[in-house]
Amino acid sequence: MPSTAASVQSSNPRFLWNEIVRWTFEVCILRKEGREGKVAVLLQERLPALIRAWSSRSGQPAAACQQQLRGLFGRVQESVELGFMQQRMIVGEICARFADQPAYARLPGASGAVALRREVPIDDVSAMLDALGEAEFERMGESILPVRRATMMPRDLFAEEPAAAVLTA
Amino acid sequence: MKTALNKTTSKSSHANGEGRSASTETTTFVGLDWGTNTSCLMAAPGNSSETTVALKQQIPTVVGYAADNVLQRVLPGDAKVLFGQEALAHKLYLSIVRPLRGGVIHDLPSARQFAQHLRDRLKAGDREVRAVIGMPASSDLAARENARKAVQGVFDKVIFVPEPFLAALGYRDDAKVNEGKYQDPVANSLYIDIGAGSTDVCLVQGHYPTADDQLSEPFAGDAVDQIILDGVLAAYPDCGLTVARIRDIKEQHSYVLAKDGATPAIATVMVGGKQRKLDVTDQVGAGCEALLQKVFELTRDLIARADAESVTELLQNIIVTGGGSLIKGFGVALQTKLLEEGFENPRVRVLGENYKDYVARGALKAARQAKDRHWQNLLG
Repeated sequence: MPSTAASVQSSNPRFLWNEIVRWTFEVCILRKEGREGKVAVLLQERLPALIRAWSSRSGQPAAACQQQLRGLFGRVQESVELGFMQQRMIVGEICARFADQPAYARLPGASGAVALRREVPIDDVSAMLDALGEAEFERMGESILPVRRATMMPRDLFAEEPAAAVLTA
Repeated sequence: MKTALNKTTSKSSHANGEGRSASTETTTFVGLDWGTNTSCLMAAPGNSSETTVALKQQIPTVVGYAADNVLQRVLPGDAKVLFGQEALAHKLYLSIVRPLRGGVIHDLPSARQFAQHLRDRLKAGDREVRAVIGMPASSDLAARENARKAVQGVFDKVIFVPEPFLAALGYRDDAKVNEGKYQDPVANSLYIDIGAGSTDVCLVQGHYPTADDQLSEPFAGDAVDQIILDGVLAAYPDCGLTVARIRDIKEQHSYVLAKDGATPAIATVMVGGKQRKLDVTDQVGAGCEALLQKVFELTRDLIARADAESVTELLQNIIVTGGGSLIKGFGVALQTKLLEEGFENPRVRVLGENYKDYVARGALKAARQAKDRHWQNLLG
């Protein structure tokens, strides 16, 4: 991954624009995952430098640059939002499908509460909601992991119900 | 209660992810404690002051479906489906469904209808409705997904938050936090939430409880009902009592102190068209005692996890909430058990009848403070 300094030194506005698109996606995804610390770093360091570099080299008036950026932010936010909804639905469907299978239920990580994994001060409701979002996202990853493991496990690990039976149920 | 949630009075908006909430003038915030037996709904316009609660209602979480052969004008408006108190009042003519079991969605179609009924009560018109909904602390992804499905197309955006967090938020009186005498209930407390499906015990020591700060057991009100029912059926095999009837009896006669058991719990049942009075005092006592013992064990185990330096103050702030807290004498009995176990000078407070308000109030507080990025969009 090129560093911010390396990226902004490029004189190719197309390359710079693609970098802006890429990091805007990253910001929106991290934000949905509740990782505000990383978002802050990107918003304060990487993106402003890229935007300045692109604006000065794009050959467009400032107003047109702003409009193009606003359009990008809106589209990326919508796209990430839709992606997360789809992810939630897919994970939900997969978990629901496998939840009743005893072999799946026994696998570590298959079930469990969505609980905070770090301390958040009571006054900071916003940080609590970020942490809950993060916990739910991580929980999703953990709950899907047993399914992935099951697909890779040799059949003989499932003494009573072969993995194939779980996956084709 | 008539509300003015569809009126707008001022302008404000923050459209980006950092903003508090987009277009607050056209938004209604909802705080919902969606309980197995009773739900508490609070709502306020997005642009109202922090303390405004435009609507506050407690609604029995039941949906009643009219039988096909019900005579005309027996049910209000000849309705095919009734909700809450109205459904209970006409239960003779309805098939009653409880959408939740153990604090989570059990019957999705009725849950969706109930959620829509809640939305209708808001009289929010075309306003965007954003709801923060309490979930049991022990709820998993599947429970959350079910809850999402239930409110999809009903609320525009939602956030699910563990109920103990909301109870702590709602119980805290922000206006008094800076007063010297005010004992901040979130500074160093132990919350016990006794719901229908699970009992959750959490340490709240200035921060929201993490996984390490909470214990949860799938033993709560429903389990008590079952113990009582088993005991009653063993003593009176032909009484025909159901879990629903047992729940009513428990709500009227539950107790854990011997002195309260001196007042007999009498259940009146109809057997073969004749009224029979059954003494179910011992069975009710046994069920409640089993819950007390479980709560005591969870409390003892969680206190053992707390920092030794914090325990003296922590013991002064044991707060019992949830339906189980309404068991007569529960706080005193738990306090006595802790004392007998050797804990020094414990003090147990019971939130009582208003416990549902605290979760809903906390949810409304959270809704007001949530930023756009926190809200989950639901497909319509």
